[in-house]
Amino acid sequence: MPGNTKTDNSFITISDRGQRLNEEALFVDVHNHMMFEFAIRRALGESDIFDTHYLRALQEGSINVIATSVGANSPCTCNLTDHLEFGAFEQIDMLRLEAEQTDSFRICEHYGDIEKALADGKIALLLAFEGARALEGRADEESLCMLRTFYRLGLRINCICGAGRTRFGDGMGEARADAGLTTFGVALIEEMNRLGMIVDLTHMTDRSFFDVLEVSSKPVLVSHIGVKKVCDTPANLDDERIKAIGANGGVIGMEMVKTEIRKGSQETGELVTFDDVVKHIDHIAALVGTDHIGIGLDFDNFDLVHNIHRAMCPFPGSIEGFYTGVPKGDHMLNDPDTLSRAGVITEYLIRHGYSDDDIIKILGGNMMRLFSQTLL
Amino acid sequence: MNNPQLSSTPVVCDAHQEILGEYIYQFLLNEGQAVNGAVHVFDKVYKPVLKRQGVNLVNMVVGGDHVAQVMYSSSEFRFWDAHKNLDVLNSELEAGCESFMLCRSSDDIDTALTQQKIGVIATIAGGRVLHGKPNLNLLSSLRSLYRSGLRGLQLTGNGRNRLADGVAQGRTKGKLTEFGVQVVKEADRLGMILDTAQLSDYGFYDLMDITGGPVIDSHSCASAVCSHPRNISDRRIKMIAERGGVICLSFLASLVNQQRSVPDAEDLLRHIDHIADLVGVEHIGLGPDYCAYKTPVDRKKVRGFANLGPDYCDFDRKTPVMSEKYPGWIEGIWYGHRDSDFVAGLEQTEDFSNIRGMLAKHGYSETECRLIMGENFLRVCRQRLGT
Repeated sequence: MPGNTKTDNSFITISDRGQRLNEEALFVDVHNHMMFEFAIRRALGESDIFDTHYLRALQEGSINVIATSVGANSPCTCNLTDHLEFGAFEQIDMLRLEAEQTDSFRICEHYGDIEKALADGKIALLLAFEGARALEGRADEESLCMLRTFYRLGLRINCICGAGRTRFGDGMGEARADAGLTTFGVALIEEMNRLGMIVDLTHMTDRSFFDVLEVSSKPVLVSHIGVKKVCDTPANLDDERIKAIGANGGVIGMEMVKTEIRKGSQETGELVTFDDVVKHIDHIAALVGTDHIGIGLDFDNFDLVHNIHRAMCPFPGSIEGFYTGVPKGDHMLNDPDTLSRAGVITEYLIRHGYSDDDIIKILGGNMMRLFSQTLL
Repeated sequence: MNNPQLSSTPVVCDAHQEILGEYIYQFLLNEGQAVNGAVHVFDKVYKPVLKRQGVNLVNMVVGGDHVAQVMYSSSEFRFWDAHKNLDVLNSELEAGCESFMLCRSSDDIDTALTQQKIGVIATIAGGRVLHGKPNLNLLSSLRSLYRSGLRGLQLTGNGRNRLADGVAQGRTKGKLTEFGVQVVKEADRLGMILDTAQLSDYGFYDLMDITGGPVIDSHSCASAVCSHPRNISDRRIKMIAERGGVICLSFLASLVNQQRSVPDAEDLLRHIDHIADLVGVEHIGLGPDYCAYKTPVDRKKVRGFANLGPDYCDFDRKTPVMSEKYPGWIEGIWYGHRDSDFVAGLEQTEDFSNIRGMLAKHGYSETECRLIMGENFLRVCRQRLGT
């Protein structure tokens, strides 16, 4: 059972060059799920949760910036309420209350806030959604008031779809509908562009995906995903999508979920490490270069909750019609297997021949560029 | 059909009616007495309207996608509201009200017609009622409502729901979702009447691939006669007819004629003629879309029915159309402001029977009139509902 601060050196050790790069580079985890456990700890009456449970892990993993999911399309990721907007309000409130108590992390709303937090040696935290149902508002109106309300509360990254349908667009669990963005979806993207929020295209069906790229006037994000050519799953990016992201100037976050990295590995329980992720990175680099690659770890394995979907969802192995597989053993990579091990990513990239410049871009440089262009 | 008495009691059907609000309101005001049968609110409030309308079979909207369809309460919880409305109907029946029947089978319809009762088919005008939990595809909502008597299912309003996209969302080019397919298959299994009104073209053609039997379009007109996003193409009309279904014409002015502020009977008859020429008179019905809140002009004639609760009422509106917040619009479709919301001479429920004279004067035979007035719709009900 991986713990939050567990360090397993059995796979690989970090060289001097790796250490130097980890100190020099900014590491951005653009898809962080600590709120899965954070919210439970809060319900159990704990305080100083960030400092007690996550700060050291992030520091050990050389992570400087995290985009933390504070809301999503299913109750299990939204404080167990069907009223997803309330669940998101609660999770943002938890973080804001802690931010008032400690200065170890800062909730950043603009690019300048991130720079300032990093200069002061703090963890820079961005608020994100994985699925925009909480922004839908009243069923028969297309009101942007929820979007602007959450913007004012600090929401800066918005993944439009989870696995299923939203009023804006469809996730891959609803691929059969083959539907593009709704009129409401178009209005949402345009308003996000205007406000200065990042559009996250993870989980989207093809027609919705390419619709967003037509509508958005800003570079976009795919926060946590793999490559279809390397691992053929419904979620992963095909070459057409990768090229479109490259043309858009966007960034793709590589994720650490076994099922998206090596097909079938989740069910067999075979070992999967960042060596396999590098195959995905190689493919993207060959197609569009290294300027569009980043990291979105997607770790949801913590001391109190190991795989939230398995724990909380009524249909194991499936999220809203999208098959994720029933894992045998760990569903996350074997190395790195937790936030505190994230620093090994540098070493894997070194071993596969990536230059210092490329490594710095992949670890966070590209994401920082995206932030600087969007979080104005 | 096999009941000889039926021939002496011609069925007259309103295939899309949304005037439940005032009745529900009055029931709740008198709930204590009503559930004991001390008073039958249906007899006092609803029956007189239906009698004046001259119908004996009503496809009654008990909920739907748009806030207007939950009427009195303006509830955001579509599921709750549909259950509330069905509970009112069931409570009155349990308390001994004998003037109507909530028809759960084709036998029920026959019984209602034979016993001179008003046959009520409960339907919903949009699948948001069935959403259930936001992240799960559960059919429990559908089956719960079915057990309470729901027998009609219109998949969408104008907008998107978890089943499919309505006509205002044609840009998505979306077919039915996985959930939409599950709902349709379960509705087929249970024996419900599928209604394609307001469904986008992509959704419609997909639905026709998924379901086998006849479907209805409860309240649309022909886009070949009047180009409006709510109206349906000849291709759709033909496909409905090929399956033995029925297209029930809306009397809404905006759908009948875009050019005239107040279209008249001739305008409506052009739609009927067009569909009759295209596929035959056996596929035409009437779904005027009477909603109290849309009934204009003379408050006395509609007294009570425009009282839709404190947050949904404005006594001074000339044309209290569609939506409080976006007048003239419903979820992305422009209906406009007009002097009358309905065709001249058919403005309100009690004018409904005027259509018979209009059809006859236009040259439709007695038999054809009976088909259009209700027998076509009844035929589809018989095929879709169990016995």
